[in-house]
Amino acid sequence: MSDTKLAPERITKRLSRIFNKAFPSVEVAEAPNATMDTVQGWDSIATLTLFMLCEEDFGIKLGYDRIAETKSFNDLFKLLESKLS
Amino acid sequence: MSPDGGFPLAATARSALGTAPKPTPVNIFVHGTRLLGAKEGQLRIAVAGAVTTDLIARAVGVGAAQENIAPVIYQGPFGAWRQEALDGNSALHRFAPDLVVLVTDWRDAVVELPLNTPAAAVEEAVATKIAGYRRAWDALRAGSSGRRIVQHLPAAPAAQLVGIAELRSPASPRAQLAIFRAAMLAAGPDIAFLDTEGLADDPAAWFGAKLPFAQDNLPEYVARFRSVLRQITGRAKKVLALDLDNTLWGGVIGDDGVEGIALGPDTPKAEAFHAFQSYAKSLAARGVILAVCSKNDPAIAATGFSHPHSVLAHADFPAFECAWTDKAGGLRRIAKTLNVGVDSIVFADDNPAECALIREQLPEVAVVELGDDPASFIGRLEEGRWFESQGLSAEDLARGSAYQARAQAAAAESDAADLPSFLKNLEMRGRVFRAEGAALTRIAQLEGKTNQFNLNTTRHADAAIAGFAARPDALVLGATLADKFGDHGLISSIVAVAEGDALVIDNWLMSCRVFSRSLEPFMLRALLAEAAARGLARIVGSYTPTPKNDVVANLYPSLGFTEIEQGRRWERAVAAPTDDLVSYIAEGS
Repeated sequence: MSDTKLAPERITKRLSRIFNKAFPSVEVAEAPNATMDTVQGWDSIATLTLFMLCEEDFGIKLGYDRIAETKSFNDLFKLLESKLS
Repeated sequence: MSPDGGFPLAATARSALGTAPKPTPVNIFVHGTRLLGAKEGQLRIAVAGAVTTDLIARAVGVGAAQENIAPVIYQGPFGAWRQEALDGNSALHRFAPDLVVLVTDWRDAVVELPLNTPAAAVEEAVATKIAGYRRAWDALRAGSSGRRIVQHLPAAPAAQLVGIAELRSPASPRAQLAIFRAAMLAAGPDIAFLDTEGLADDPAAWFGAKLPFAQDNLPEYVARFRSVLRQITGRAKKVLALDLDNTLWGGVIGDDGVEGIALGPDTPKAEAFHAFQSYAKSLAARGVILAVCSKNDPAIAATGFSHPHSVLAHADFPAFECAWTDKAGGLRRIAKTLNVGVDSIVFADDNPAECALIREQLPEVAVVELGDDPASFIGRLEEGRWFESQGLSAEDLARGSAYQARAQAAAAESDAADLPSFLKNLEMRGRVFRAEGAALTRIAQLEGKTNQFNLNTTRHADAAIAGFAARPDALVLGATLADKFGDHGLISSIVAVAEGDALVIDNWLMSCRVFSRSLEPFMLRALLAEAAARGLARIVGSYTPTPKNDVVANLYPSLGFTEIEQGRRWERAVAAPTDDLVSYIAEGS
């Protein structure tokens, strides 16, 4: 499966675009710094939105149990990385 | 009302999502989240419930935007809908919503009762629960008379427990729910219900986010909400405009002919087309107006309905548009014929190109792309829940049966071997009488709107008709007709005036629904009797041609009159034998 594994920079790039889609005010380049505290309108439902967008974009299932602890771009990045490897 | 002017959030959502019945969950999340930020709009919607409403609120916002309504949305605090409703000073009341969506589910319906509780006691418990809802509804409406309530109609919980035994125990949650649903509908004739049946319970969604159903069901929820929203904002769809070839039958009528089209029990495909026709017919019986919009030769197209297995008849379509020009024009003409807005039409066609053209040229029309598998047509059409309503009115049902009666009469016509046996088969009853009161008003209406069977197009108004009726030397006759398919009411009239030895017909008119039913000789016999009673020797009739009344140019000759002025005036002796005046109508009403 190593040839289908995504390089970290590919994940970052795609996740940045996803952030921009969910929060139009967050520029793609700024997305990796985004946290729940700095992005306006990022509530738990918005996290759910991010999960759904990721599920659609990466073709994986993220489920609900990690929603509460996902509070930043970095948290979501790590979750994706673990699911995609 | 369009959100484009001044409501950019709704306009953006609408242009991104179009009017497709089911936007994707992601789009609902993204656009719904933005719409929650709207401070101004055309409809103030409060979403309150016992569950997490965040996602429902987003779906509601997206649904409104898709219906071209810019929403302003308020979400009540989690689980506090009852307090919010009952407290007239709550944040919900202060928001002053035009619409309140109450998101409750089976958890707010089922009472925990011992399983051996008898049915009567269960019903009592349900009634108490419903009374609580009624109080909340009334409290919500107390704020404003125009405020509408959309109440989720709860569905049974997913757990089957001990299966059929649950359904046999009135106190079980599933059995209670069935009683609850019926009682809730009965208690809320003024409430708009959104049925949640079939929106699958998802334990993970419930435990993780207190969502009342799986998030995959959000698109379906949007379709249901939009349907209810249309119903309560006067945007309900009224007309189903259908293509013909490969929509109502398989094949091309112009190429394959009546024998060659697929319709009926012969193949699975033919059976599916037959089922789709039956479905359309059932919609018509519920008040949906059917129309044909097809690229065809009208005469050839109509032959498709003479197929022995055709469920639909030509007469089932109050509007029939067949032309080789584009279908957008056809739909505009249908709207004009039926006197409805273009936005009340649902257009269904198997051809993606035609669907695309309508979406582009008439975005206000709901377009259903049927695809190439007739077995899925009904499902495709139902997806948008276009014709759903909260209740059928007498008018809805009458609309259906009136068109049906016409269709059946037309079918009887094609079955009958010859005209006399067709007319006998109709079991007609008629009455000719001196008109007075309301009948005079009705006759004035006929004077005003009858174009074809109208001998002199006199257009007498109400007062003029009443004037004739009051004159000793004149008379106004009305005629009613009923047959085994229905009552046509007062559909013909004669105004006549005595001049010398003649009773001169000033005007004679008849609704186009009933001509050539032998009502003409039936009425003439009555008129001859009137003339005889007055001691008059002749009846004189005249005809004034117009561009539309060609159909009666030869009426008098066909009724045994002799010409006295070429093509314009005829007479018939009152004493002459009347054997030639054959009618299949029996006296009676």
